Amino acid sequence: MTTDRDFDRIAVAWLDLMPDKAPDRVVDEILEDVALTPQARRPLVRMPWTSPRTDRLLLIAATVLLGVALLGGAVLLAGGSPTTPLPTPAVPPPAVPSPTAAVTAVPSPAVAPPSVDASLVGTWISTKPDDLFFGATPAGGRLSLVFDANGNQGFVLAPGGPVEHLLATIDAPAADRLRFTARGATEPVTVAGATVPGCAAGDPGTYAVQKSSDGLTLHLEPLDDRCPARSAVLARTWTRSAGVATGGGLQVVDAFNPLFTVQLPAGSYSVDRAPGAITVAQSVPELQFLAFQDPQGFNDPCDPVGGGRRAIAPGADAIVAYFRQLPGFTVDSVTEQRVDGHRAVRLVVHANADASCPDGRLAEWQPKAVTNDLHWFLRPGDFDSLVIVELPDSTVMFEVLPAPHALEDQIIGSVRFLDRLPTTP
Amino acid sequence: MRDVVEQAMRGDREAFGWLVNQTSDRMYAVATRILRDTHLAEDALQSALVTAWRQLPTLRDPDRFEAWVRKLVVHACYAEARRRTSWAANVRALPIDGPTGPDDILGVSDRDALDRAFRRLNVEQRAVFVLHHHLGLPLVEIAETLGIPAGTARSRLHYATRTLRAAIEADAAPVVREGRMA
Repeated sequence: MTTDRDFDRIAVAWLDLMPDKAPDRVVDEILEDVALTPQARRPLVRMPWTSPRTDRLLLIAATVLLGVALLGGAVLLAGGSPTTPLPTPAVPPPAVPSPTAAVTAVPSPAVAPPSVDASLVGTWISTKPDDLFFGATPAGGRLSLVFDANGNQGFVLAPGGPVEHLLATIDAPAADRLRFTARGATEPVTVAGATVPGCAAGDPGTYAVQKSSDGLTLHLEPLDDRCPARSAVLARTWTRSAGVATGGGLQVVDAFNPLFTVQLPAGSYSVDRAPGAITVAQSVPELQFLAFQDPQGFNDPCDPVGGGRRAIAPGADAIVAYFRQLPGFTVDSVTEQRVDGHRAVRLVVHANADASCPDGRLAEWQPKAVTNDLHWFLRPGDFDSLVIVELPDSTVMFEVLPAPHALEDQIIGSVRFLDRLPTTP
Repeated sequence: MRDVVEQAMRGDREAFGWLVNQTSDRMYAVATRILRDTHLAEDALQSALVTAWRQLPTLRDPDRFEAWVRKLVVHACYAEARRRTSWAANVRALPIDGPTGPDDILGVSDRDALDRAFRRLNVEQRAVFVLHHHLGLPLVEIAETLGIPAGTARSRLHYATRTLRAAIEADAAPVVREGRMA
């Protein structure tokens, strides 16, 4: 018989067997993701579900409060002093190394300029011209333009590196204008073999903004930019991308070729990528959208490494046939459908409840692009609901979790494949 | 810490980086104990802290930052544990032969019995057990962290404790057991 006290000691000792220290690699990845992730905007007023009349009253009250706040701000700016000093940290946080190309900081303006449109916040991508180079960046690939809502900052990422180029404070002097102010001196870029000078700290540049009605593209046209390098980079059409984090909506997913767009519910998603695969996921409410390209299977679901890989021919039927012969799995249903005009099959398959592998996981597949032992698996009794789409040059699988998910048809039905990123608005 | 949280709430990434460095070990320890899988725990930690950064401006009380992040970590653990499918590399495995505990308290058979029994608990029961026995949180605070009634927290802890305790006692009984893993 174990006494309560004995059990508590045993439980604590057993729990203590697990590691206590987060790997440095994971902390570094978190900080890298944070560097590229915009913060949500602070809501002005939290409104519970109310009657339309109460909504109007709250709206009026919020407007009044906002007016009072603005008036108070104006009084302070006119010479008043705040009654409460701005908080400063008792222990200054150590500086986190930021991969920024900026050198000389520009003081923040005393008066906050008009904010950028919230719909711009996030990551936008564009095909990098082959003759445009940031230092030694590779010839191909894509540029990313990242808008940070909180600091009203933006920067550009070149292919192959996390360095923030052309870091700038951004404000919106008009609804269809964006003004970029260089946060520091920036390096020159090379266009068609010619060196284009970089920005000096404080260099302004104003751009006309043209957004597509569906919010998918953003075209920037320079009106007046003192920084030639910035103009050479920004003046193009950008497409909203999932990036490393996304708030949902219509966006392009650039995990593999072909690119595709998908419409996700508004939310707060993180994005994980692997060769030939992508996961866009949020915890609350739980929703994961997954895409895989060209799966290959395994001979032994209990031993994906030792048992060897099993080739799967292109097309949905070959994937269904693979699961029909895979030990430990049962195909529940196969339904024909179409996705963006392409033949597709919805396959529901489960791992048998009595299936037993030493680690409790039955390996299913990995994209052909994966060269290590990363793989997708099911636990006994769990199932997949996959939509397998046949494209001319590849086979793509989509899944929405947790399955079955009420939004599965809506989300996967919104997928549109692209030959290339838009180059015009 | 409140001042640093407020700085981070205004978008200061360096301040948030400081908070990550201050809290990540504790949060990772919670996640590894709930999930019993270091790879899943890493994913849960990463997901929770990036969500924390995104949602930080909505935090009502900066003094509750750590409790708020703990809640995000537990919810991220729920999502990881409920993933119908996940990426997994065979090189990532439970550190069964990892750090050794005090053997006078915890024998190898106890450890195996607890490992097996813990796997039978659902993730909600695991979370309550870990918050109570690892962090030493009282049931009221656990309930507040998880957003559940105190009675629910109590029943989950009761079920988890009963299951794990029964596993130890059954393991100590002189019976012949099959050695096959579930």
